[in-house]
Amino acid sequence: MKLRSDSVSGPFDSVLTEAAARSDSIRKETKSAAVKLYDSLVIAFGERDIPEEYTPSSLDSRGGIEPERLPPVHDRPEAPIENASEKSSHLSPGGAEGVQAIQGQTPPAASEISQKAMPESTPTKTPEKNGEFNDLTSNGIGIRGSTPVIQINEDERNVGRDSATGSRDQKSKGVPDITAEDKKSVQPKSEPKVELKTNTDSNRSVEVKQGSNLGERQVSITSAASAKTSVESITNVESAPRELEENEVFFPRNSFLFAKGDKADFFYVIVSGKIQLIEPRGQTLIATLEPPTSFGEQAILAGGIRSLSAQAIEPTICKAYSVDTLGKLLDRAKGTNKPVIYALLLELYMRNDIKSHQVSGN
Amino acid sequence: MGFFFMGIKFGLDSTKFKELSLNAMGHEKKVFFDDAGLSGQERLFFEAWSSQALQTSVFEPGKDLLKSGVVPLYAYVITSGEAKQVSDENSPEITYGPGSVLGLADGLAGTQSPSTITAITAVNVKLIPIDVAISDISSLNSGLKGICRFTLFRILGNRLLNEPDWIR
Repeated sequence: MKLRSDSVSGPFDSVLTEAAARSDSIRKETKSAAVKLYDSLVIAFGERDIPEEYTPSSLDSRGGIEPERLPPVHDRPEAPIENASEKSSHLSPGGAEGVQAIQGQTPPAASEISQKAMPESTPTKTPEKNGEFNDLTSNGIGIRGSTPVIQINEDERNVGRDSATGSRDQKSKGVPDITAEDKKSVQPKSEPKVELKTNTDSNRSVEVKQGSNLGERQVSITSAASAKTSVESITNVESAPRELEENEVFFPRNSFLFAKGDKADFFYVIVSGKIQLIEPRGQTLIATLEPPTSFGEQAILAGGIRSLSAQAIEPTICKAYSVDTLGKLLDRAKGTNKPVIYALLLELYMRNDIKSHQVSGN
Repeated sequence: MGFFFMGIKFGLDSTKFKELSLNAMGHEKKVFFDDAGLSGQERLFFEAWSSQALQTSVFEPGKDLLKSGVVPLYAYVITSGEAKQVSDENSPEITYGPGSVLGLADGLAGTQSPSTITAITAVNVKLIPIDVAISDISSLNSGLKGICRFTLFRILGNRLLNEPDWIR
């Protein structure tokens, strides 16, 4: 039975009016609470996964909510935003094997995560571990509506954590999370060490940052020759076929590592895949390089300039050594080593130059 | 009838180097490197050219720097002058100018020189004794030795039949 303050009359008017007013007030508060809870659920699970009966309009028509029928969700409406990004970083393509380990399913492709897998998600609750809940959706994606996060910095990761212990602070308790044990299986076995960023101003340099912690190990390359190849068109096209070790860099098929005229910042040794060295003038193929060949020796001199363009014709993993690393090695070289190495590289230049002239007929 | 090839000339502009004393070191050298706008090849050439570890020599016109079918005992970095690769009907005539490196890869790998190269003007060179170079490279750390090894492979290609001992 519902009481409405505008529909009562008789000797108990005052009592009933007061009761009806109280009832209206409670209904308004309840509706307000329901709307807030609904918003939290949408953030956490996405609108499509919230049953119709829990929408504000439905709740309003039924005069309130039925707490026992709510989807399993933890008692902290503010937290899922933070955990959405954290969880998605663990479950993004970089940690796909972890998803497989937990769910026993084939990890979805990066491009499928937001479009395909999410709508099928049904929130499930797994047993509490180590004082933290481990909530994953049925396909292991976690929180619907969270697109794969490519880069999560440590500051973002540590939101809600005690700075000293690294554990969740009081505010975050009971929030869907991945336990330390699960993180081992979700995260890559070795943290990706190399992060490539493009220098969009010059469209010609590749910056490698070591020790970066990426959710996925995608490499973005631009170069003078491939200026039209945008970062976005390469990212998410291909991912590294395996975990990358220290100093290793992954280059998707057809991506340019560098172009003729680029500043030579790195020296590369091919670990897997194939690289073509091209003389852009006349599109002359100079060499097709396979493991364990090296290239980009121009980096041996600070300020060196690329004399050829290099393109990955297969998904390729290379070890990249910076100018500084090579410089330090070279400074320790004694006797004739330094001029001999320079002369050897110069002979290679010379042969390549002559070969390009022979092929192009110029 | 053989194919017709246009002549090919390889050489770097060494006139930029005249602004700098061969003995320039440290800051002066760095300033030159930074300001001269040298290409990668020019930087390598300058480093080899200005090296105090290498001796200089001169070839009179008509003298052979390399002989076909002979494993080089010395490699040369041409600092001035021109030398010509003797051509046949199946290969182009190649002229080597300043910045050309002759015989280093063949010498290090112990392979025979594929062609004869003869001075056509007075040719000043920096000398690299192959035995000294091999001895020094053998003591290099694995990283730089690896660079030498890969570079050698790329220069010689299929001509490198056997890996020399020092490379391992």
